[in-house]
Amino acid sequence: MSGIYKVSGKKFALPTSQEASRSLSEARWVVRPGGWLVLEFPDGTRRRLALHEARGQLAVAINGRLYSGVINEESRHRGTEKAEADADLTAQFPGKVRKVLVSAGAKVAEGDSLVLVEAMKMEFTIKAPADGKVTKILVTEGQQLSPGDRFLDFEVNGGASGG
Amino acid sequence: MKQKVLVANRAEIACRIFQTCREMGLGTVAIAAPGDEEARHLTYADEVHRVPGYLDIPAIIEVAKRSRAQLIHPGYGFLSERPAFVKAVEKAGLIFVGPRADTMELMGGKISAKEIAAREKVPTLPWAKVPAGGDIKAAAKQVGFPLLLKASAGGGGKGMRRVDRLQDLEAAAESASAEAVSAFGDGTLFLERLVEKPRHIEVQVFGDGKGGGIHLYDRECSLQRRHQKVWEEATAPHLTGATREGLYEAAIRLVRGVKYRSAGTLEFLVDADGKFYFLEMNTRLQVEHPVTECVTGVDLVWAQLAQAQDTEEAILTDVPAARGHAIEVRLYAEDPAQGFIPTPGRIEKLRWPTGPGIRVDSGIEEGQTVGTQFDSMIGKLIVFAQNRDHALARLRYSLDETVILGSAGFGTNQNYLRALADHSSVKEGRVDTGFLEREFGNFAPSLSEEELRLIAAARAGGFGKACAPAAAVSGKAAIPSPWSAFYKPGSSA
Repeated sequence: MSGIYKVSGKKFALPTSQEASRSLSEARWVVRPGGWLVLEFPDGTRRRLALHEARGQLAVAINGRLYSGVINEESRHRGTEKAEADADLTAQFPGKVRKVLVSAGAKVAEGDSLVLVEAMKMEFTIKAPADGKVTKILVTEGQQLSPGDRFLDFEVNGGASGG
Repeated sequence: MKQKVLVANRAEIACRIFQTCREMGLGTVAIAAPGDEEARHLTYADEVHRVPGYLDIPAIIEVAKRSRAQLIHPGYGFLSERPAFVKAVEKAGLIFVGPRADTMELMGGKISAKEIAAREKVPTLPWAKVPAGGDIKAAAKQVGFPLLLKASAGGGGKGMRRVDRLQDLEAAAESASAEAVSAFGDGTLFLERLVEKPRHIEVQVFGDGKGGGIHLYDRECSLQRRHQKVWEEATAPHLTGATREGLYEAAIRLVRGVKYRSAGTLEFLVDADGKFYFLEMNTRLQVEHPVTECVTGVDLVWAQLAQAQDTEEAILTDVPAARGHAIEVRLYAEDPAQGFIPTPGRIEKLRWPTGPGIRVDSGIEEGQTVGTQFDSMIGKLIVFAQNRDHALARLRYSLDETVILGSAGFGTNQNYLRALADHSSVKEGRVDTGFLEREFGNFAPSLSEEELRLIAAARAGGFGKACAPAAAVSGKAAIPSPWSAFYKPGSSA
């Protein structure tokens, strides 16, 4: 398995487990109380991290930094791209649709602005999660949003549909 | 029967006030609004009562009567600066822990506070009221450019507009007034001269309500984003003795001049020449009060409660000694790398740092789901050390040891705070209120090749999932997880 770890909208490629194991072949993993994983190298040095992974989300504490993001396996690329597109196109918090910037049938590139949302006294832009096509608009301007409301149906280029 | 305190607030500040209440042998009464069912402050109170909302004055008074709480502490935000709440509490025969209603009205209104400042010979920025139907342009010429249009009824950036030129004034005033009406129900504006790259310096005070009072030194809160503070310190670095003394004397004149009672904070802007200007007063305990408590050793909540319980006893009559340096950072459930969007979710792993000079005022528990209904601040990390350099080192250590991992997209601004602690201007203590928006506007995550390898290897070993193996695993031949019959390696749980 390898995969893409998407943190704060930025994608990072994870090496395959074979590649990772090879580079760490002399090291030993130890699970320590407190939920820490310690990697011990033959020269005595150690690295420490903590992970939590569930339902496609991976949170990591490493080198004093915390990362939280979506993890997609390469082998299930299509299916999880759909899951990822779904999450990006669903309201995460209550708000209001300020403006819809595209119409049904529009072909868009990853990162294109699709919908303007007002929430928590701030304005957010919902962007296209991948190259693809907007198949159906599901909200209207001025509409109140609840978490879980979908903004639009989206078809990722290459066939996987979100919706 | 021991006295009880009802805390008309929630999360970390309610927990913090409960601590001192218990230390003083006072009973603790919590209120719970819908959406806060899992909130931490409910776990630690002696009694919990439901209310429709934290701003519901009649409901809160009703709870106080039912629970026989004699003292009401408002915390910060919510009803803490509402004279109507103070009056309702007193009308019910209960004790409000804080200033009197009339002082709150006087010092809470931005325009009336400026007038008091003028009376007490405390410098303010050149300013002018916007005359109803009068000549706003003449007023603006008096104040000078650049200037800020501000709402007199409230803050947080609402109803505020910067104006650089006379010709932009009228359009800006219309827009600002409309925003103020929508936010505060009052569109009254005033004009205030804008200081370029100011420092936000505030002075903690405690008054006896009879014309006496002390200061408890200053704090610097220049690191703000959209008027939301992120990082505060006691005491402010690089202030001359003259500026510091001037700030303290001005603060005391104001406290004594209005016969202020209980804890409060006076906010100032300090310009590059060390000249200071009074901005406004916060007639309550502030979020960042812990840094003052660290450098003085004084428990401000204790002082408030002791004074409220016995109005005859003299509390905090002498300025305490100050030593060392304290820094507080605010943890928010938001993502600075994506426009600070809220990142609610469930907290799966929570580890706070511990050790000398580390204080955590937490609003969260492991297993709690953090939503978006309330403020997204989840806790405060405060460090205290013998000098500023060591405090910075202690902050870096503490952030490195803080683990708040969540699921369902949960994230915090922890990395952003950690990056701030490495920034040269922050380390030098040379920042202003525009610094964060100028220098930290494009924060982005970065993972090194080594970190990605470690993560990949840890996942390959099955760690981090709900069914992780509890034994040591070598990189060469992994011991299969006892749960491997139930899931295929490589699939998400």
